[in-house]
Amino acid sequence: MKKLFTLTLILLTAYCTLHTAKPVLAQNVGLAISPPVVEVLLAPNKNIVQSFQLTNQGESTQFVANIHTITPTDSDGHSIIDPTPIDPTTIPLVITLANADRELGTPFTLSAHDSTQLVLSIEGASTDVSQDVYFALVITPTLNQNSSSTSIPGISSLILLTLTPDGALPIKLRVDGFDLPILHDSALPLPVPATITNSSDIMIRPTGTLIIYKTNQNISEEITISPNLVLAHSSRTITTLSESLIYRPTWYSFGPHQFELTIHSPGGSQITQVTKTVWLLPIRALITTILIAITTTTLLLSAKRRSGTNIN
Amino acid sequence: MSFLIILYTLYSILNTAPTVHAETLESTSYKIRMGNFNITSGLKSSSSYSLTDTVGQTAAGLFTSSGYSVKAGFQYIYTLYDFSFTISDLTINLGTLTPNTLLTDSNNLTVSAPGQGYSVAGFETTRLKNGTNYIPDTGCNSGSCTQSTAGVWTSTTALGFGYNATGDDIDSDFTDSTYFRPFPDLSLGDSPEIILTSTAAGQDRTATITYQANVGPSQAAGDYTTSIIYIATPTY
Repeated sequence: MKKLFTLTLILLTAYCTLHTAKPVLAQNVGLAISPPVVEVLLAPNKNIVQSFQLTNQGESTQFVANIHTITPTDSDGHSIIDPTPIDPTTIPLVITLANADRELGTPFTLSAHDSTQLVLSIEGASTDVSQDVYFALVITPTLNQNSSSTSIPGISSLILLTLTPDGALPIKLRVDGFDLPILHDSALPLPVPATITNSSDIMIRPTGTLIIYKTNQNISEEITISPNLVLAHSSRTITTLSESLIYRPTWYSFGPHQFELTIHSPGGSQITQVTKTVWLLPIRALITTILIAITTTTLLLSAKRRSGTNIN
Repeated sequence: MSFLIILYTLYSILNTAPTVHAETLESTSYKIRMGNFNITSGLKSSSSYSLTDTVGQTAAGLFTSSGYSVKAGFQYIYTLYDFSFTISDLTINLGTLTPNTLLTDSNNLTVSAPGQGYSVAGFETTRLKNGTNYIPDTGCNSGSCTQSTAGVWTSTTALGFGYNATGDDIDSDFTDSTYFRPFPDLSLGDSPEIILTSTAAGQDRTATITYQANVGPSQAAGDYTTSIIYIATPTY
C-alpha cells in the first residue's frame, strides 16, 4: 500500500512538472491615442497646451514621443509622416512637452495596459502673415536592436495649426471634377464626382449642399455634403457624412435635372456654385420594351407568314 | 522518504500557477470618454471670419479664448473608441537563409480608427545589414515590383528582401499572397510608403504582413538585421 502511495505521488509529481511549461508569447505592442486630430487657430506669441491620452495596449515598454511634419497624400484626407523628427528651427512654433517628467525625444516607460497624458505646449512665433503648420505627435517604442530584425509600431495624432495675427483668413476654393453624364438611366444611382481644391495658404473646413432640381424648379433632393477639412494647397473629395456623393433617383424621375453644387465658408457665406444638367431616362426599361416589341412583332409576322403558307 | 515526496509534490503543484495577464482597469458602471463642460457655444462671426465654438471644454471639443481656438477630436462624429494600432509580434525571424530558397515570416497589423479612416505607412531603417554587407531589397520576378507597386515574387533566382500584405484595407496592388514590394529605405532617403488605407471608420481592421527573403550563394554569412517601422495616421 505504501509503495502504491509513493508511486502515485511520483506520477502526480511528474504530471505536474510536465504540464508546467510556461507559455511563450510573442511580444506585441499596441498603442491608442486620443484625440487623434487637433485643429488649432493660434495668434503669434500666444501659447496653448493640449493633452493627449496615450494608452499602452501591449506589454510594458519604453516609448518616445517626437514631432514630425506631415504632408497630405491624396484627396481622401490621408497624410504621410516624415520619418525624421522635425527640425524646430524650420517652423514658426515652439513645441515642448509640458509634463514635468517628460521631454520630446526622451524615452519613458509605460506599463502594460496603462495610460498617461502627454501635454503638448505650442507657442506661436511672431509673424505678420497667416500661415499653416501641419505636424504630428508620433509615439513609438524605443528601438531595441538585437540579433533579430524587428517591426516597430508608431501611432500619431495630427495637429493642424493656423498661425494668424488677426484671424482674417483668405479663402480660395474651387470645385473640380464635377463631371456628370448628359444621359443617365433613372433606375440606377448616379455617383456625383467632385473635389474641392484649396489654393490658399490656410486650411478650411467648407460646408455645402448638392441640390437636384427638376425642370420646373422643384427640388427633387437636397444632399448635405460633409464638412471635410481641406488643407492648404490640396484637394478633398466631396462626400456625404456616411458615404460617397451619390444621387439615387426614383424610377419615374424622367427629363432634365439640374445638379447644383454650392460650397459655403464655415460661416455660411457662399464661395462657389457649379451646375450641370443631366437627362434622366428609363434607358434600360426603354431598351427592354423595344426588344420585347421587336421580338413579339417578329414572332407575330412569322406566325402570320406560316399561316398564309398553310392556306396556299 | 514519503514525507520528502509529499513536500516535492506540494512544491510542484504550488509552482504551476497559471500566467496572469494584466487587464485594463475601468469601472463596471461607467467609463468617461472625452468629458467636457461647456460654458457657452455657438456661431461667432465677423466680416472677415466665422467660427463655431464651445467655450470651457476641458479636454476635447472646441474651446476659444483670446488669441487661440482649438478643435480636438472629430468635431462631427462622437467616437466610441480610440484610434489604436497594434503589431502582433515585433520580432521578424526568417531563420537560416539557404541560397535560392524563399523564406518567410509574418505578423499582423491591427488598427481601430474612428472618424473617416486611417493609413499606415511603412519603411525600413536600412536594408538587411550585417556590418558592411547587405541583402538588397527585392525587385521581385524580373524586376516587376517597386516600393509603390507590388509584383509577383515566386522565383527562387529572384533575390532580396520584401513584403506582402493580405487582409483588411491593403493597397490594391497586393493582388494575392505572391505579390511583394520592397520597403522604402530610410538610410537611402526614401519616403515611407502607404501599405494600409481606409476612408471609413473601422474597428480591429487586421492585415497580415509577410516578410520574404532570398539570397544567392555568394552572400556573406552572418546575422542580417533591420527595423521595419510602421506609423498609423488618422484621416484628418
